[in-house]
Amino acid sequence: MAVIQWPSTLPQVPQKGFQETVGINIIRSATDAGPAKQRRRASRPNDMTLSFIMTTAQTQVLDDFIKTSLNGVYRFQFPHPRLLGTTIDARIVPGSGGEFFTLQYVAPGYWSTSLKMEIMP
Amino acid sequence: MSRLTSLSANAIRAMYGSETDQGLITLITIYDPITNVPAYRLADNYTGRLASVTTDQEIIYGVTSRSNEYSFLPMQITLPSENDTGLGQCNIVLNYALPEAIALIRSRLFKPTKVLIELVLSGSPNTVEVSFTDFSITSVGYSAQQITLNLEMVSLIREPFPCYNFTPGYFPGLF
Repeated sequence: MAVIQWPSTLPQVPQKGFQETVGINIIRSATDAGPAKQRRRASRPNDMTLSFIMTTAQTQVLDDFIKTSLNGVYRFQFPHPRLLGTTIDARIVPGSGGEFFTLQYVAPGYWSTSLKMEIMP
Repeated sequence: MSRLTSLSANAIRAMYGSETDQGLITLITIYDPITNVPAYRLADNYTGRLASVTTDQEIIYGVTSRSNEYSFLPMQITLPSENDTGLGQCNIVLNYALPEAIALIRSRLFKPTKVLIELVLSGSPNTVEVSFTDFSITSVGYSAQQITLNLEMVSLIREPFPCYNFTPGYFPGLF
């Protein structure tokens, strides 16, 4: 099976908003006196929160993509919203209750869709 | 001998520095109990993807050290402490219990299994800073969340040496 691609029928950029958290996994140890000691552990996934405007048909494509193509767990190739022209390995991060995306009614036939992704290092 | 004499200058600098980009990585090599060749290589941290085992479906993170690939698996290691009754136990807790791993434990770990523990720096994974040899897995516990490997060394304290008592029966010339 080839690497799964973000469906071309879905929006390729988040039209409604995008937030990215960038970081590195480090250990920081406080000392009795003086500055804390810190060392690198490893790279960590960057988190992205994306908001799209989708049509009703597109929300169904997203639903099928997550449930059928990804089985909720696989990674996929996604165009990075900040680094235009760069494709990244991403996974959708579910909420604590297993919810993958939320839909909010915008106008007849249009939905605001937000989901959280992590960029695999 | 102090550990400081066997550590590289880079490792000592990283340990004493207030900030360092070097991470200390523990490499675990588990040997096959029958053939005594390395069967599994694990690491408690990673420096990148392992290209040879990463597939389209799955990314495997790990460390390549001396041309050997160690797969990243979250784990906690308790190194043995010294106490009045001898060496304490060494434990490795793997925070990932797969049905396949449980089956492997039940089918293969029926005799003490040799384990090699090594520490390397993330910036120079080919240089072994500390090496703990002579450990063997003597018991394993598991639950739905984790697998606990109990490691022990051969205890020379309990060896019957000298095996003879100096009694008139064994050593009549002494009496």
